[in-house]
Amino acid sequence: MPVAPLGTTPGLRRRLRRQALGFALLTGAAGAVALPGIRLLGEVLRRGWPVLGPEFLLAPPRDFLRAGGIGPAVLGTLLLLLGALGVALPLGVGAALYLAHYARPGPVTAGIRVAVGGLAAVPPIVYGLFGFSLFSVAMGLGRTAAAGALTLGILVLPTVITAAEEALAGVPREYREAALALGASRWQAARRVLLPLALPGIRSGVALALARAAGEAAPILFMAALFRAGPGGGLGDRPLALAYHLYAAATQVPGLPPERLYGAALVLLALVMGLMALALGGGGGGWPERRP
Amino acid sequence: MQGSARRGAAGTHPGVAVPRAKVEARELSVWYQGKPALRRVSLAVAPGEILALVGPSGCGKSTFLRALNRLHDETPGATVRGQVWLDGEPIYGPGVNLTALRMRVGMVFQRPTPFPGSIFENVAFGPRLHGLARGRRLRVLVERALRQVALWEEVRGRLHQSALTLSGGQQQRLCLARALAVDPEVLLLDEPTSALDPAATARLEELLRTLRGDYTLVLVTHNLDQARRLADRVAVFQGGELVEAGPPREVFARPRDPRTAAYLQSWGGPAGRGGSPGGT
Repeated sequence: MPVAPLGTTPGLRRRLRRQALGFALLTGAAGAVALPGIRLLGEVLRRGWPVLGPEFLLAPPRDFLRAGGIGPAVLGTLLLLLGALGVALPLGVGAALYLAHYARPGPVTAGIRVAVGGLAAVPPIVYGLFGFSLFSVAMGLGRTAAAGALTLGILVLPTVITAAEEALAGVPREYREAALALGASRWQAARRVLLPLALPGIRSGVALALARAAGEAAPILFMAALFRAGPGGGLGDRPLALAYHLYAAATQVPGLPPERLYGAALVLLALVMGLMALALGGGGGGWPERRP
Repeated sequence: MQGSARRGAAGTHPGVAVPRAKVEARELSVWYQGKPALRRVSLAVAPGEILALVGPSGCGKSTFLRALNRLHDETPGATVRGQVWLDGEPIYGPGVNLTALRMRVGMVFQRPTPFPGSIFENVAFGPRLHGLARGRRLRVLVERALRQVALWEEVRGRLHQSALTLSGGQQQRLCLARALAVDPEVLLLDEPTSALDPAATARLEELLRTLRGDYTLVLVTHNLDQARRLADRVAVFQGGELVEAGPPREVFARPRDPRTAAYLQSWGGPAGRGGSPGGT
């Protein structure tokens, strides 16, 4: 028999009770956060799933969207993403390289960083107005997918720059110096050593950026169309996009069966979540940890 | 003992009777963000010798080393004054091409820095960059460099595997091979064994010994035993200044400067006590 009892004292019991209460509250909070998400996913899946099929995914709409498919909007989204990628990747990675490895610390660099941070804080609808007035009107591109892709590219630029700069800064400086010490120029060191080493981080940032671009309707609000009468779907045509489709179809097509909206939402969600998974998972082929 | 082998000709300068230095720094000073890191160091490296730079952390030995291939040019906020001559040619000056300089003065770093890509691509990096060789000649060159670092037999069957599949010691030898593949005359080694285990350290030291004579080596090390084992001469740095330089036996056994004596005492290893060389 122990001399000092190992059992609980009133004080200890009180502390344990408080701890149990704390845990219960935290669990509840975590559940409360997760529940709406799960509920939303479940609702979209439940109501959208039945309308999915080859025709819905690929065919053009009929009868003012009430029948047929969302094929042009799916293709239009992919086209806009590709265009935005073409804008944001070279500009973003270039800016990140400059900031991480060329720029001398000083007011100019600080100014660029502030500007990048500021861009990230601009609401998407402002991008929409800005993109429309700059690309569609001033540059004469009109209401085209090219103007939409440029707008979306600028929208996601801060995400790409920030991710790429972080990835580049994460490469130990000896790697850069080792390349330079072999007689490589700064550009050669960047292209052959730094960029490949930073690639996993850059890829994550780009995937995240595209996920965002795919889900935004506001930036292309003044350019996009809900459906197209004739053929088309190039950069010079009015862009169709899933996000805009959801917004416009829900507000402008009376008598549209809601299941068709849920179906489109499900396709958009799958696209965005796929891109997110690519961003978080890295997708393999990255730079494994250095062996000791 | 001075370095046994010499590549440069003695007395080629008119009126200079001593062997010409391979690398010679005169009044070399370096500042980082205006703070002095190296103060007016003058030091010559003879052709084919191994010069070890020793001293406590932050004494300026790495700073000195990085001035010899102008790596400070790549560090924002670093300022270099003074001059370094390579075979009698000044390396700090408007007409100097950094690529040409760095092809002649190679460098190996503290931690292995395998580049993304295969073992072969790592060694071929420099020759490809400078268009030195292609196809069969490139393969011959890569094999020669890998043989030089005694890595060929270990990797010949997997040249096209990622360099990351190698152990740390192998990676460091790969980095040495990569530096040798552009056929430099001088090799700068910044604590090349500090990230390696004792066995890998011993192998690398053995390797450096075989390079003596064919290459001029400048080695920064924290390990006084290593300096004693490898170096023809040691240079002791402290507080950004060169305290003294000479053959390791003399410097370690009879330091002329009290600062050297204090450093040796603080280090406390066998070299510090003037013990027998070659311990592991």
